[in-house]
Amino acid sequence: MAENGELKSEIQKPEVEKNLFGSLLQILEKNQKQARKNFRRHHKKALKWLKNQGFDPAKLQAQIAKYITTGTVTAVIMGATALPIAATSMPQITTQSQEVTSLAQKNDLFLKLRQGLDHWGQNPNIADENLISKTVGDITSLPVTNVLEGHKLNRTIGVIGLEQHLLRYPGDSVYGQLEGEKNQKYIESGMAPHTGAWGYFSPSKDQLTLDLSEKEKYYVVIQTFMIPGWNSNWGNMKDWYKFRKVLVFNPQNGKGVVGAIADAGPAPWTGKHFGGSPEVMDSVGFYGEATKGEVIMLFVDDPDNKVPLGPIGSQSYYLIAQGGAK
Amino acid sequence: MSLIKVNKQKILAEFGVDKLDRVQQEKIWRLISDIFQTKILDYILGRLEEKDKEEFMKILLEDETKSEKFIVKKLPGIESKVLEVVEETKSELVLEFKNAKRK
Repeated sequence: MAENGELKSEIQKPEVEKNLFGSLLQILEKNQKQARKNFRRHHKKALKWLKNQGFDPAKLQAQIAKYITTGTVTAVIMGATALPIAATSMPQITTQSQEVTSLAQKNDLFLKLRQGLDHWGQNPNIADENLISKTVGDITSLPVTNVLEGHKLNRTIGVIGLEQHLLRYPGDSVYGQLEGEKNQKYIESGMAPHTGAWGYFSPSKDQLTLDLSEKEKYYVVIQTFMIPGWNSNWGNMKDWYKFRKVLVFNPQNGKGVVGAIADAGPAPWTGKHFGGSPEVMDSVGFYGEATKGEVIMLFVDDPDNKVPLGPIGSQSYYLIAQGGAK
Repeated sequence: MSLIKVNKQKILAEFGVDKLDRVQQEKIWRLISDIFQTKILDYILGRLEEKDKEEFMKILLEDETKSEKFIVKKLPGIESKVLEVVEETKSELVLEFKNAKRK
């Protein structure tokens, strides 16, 4: 009888957890809405002033997040390096308040983004980074952001270099990874002799899932050691960054790929700022013809794991911009 | 540099959701921290004069480290006040959740 009771209890457990989760979510969403409403009501004048100054009031909160140090699992950046303050934003790029759906709008934003990059160079200030993030999000229709949960990469724009494949499990080989004719072109890149900064993707071949395999296939290298607060808060930050989704976007051709952070590097003396697996580099047009190039790197805000890893959809906004596709 | 420290796992445990899967925990934590952040910002701005408020918001968007120094100077003892805001908010949320569970 007791066994039946325990069994019943085990069966009911997921249902109870589901209800618990749903109920809490509802309460939190209601409170979040109310807190935001109160905030807007209390500071209407100041927020209007901020908007008129060309700033995005929505980003205030992301900055406030940095005031809070979170123990265990997730940590936020502490004492981030001061960014250049002078406002250099290109006024002609206006962030869209409504959803950008038409190709003409995306095309327009894409061209303006390219012009903006010539103007900003590789060191945009925080206001410009916010604008870049919003613009790339509008172009790609992906939930991208330059600041996520208080975390910020050391760079949003930089040079990405070709990396070798990583060992997924002890005894892995490049031939085992790249089966199939269409993958043969990646074999020449070879395999790194050591694991990535977070070790093996799986303890053994048998335990390697498709998900982990995809993470290696589309892995991205970030200079985590140059992120402010990394050394003092390494224990917490490494968990947050492990396999964190990022969008690698090539502003010259409009190609992009969603990857997962799985290694630390490259060394600053290389002149490169990011690294990408052969598949990542191929997805943004840097494989075969070039081994490095300039990209925009943004977090993908995907708490429900709905955005798949791999190349992003149509780049028709670019093709139209070039007078190619109809 | 940071104004306050909060223990994420401890707070999730207070809600009794620390054993849920990681994705669910992240979703809940994101909402909780969002509420904390909004309330902290609301509190700080509410304590500043209109002119200081504008200056603070501008500095905050450009460099949060400078903005932190700014409010610590303008609002002495702000650290403990911010902690109070967080604690109070958390207690209210936990209570509301517990009441909802009882129903």
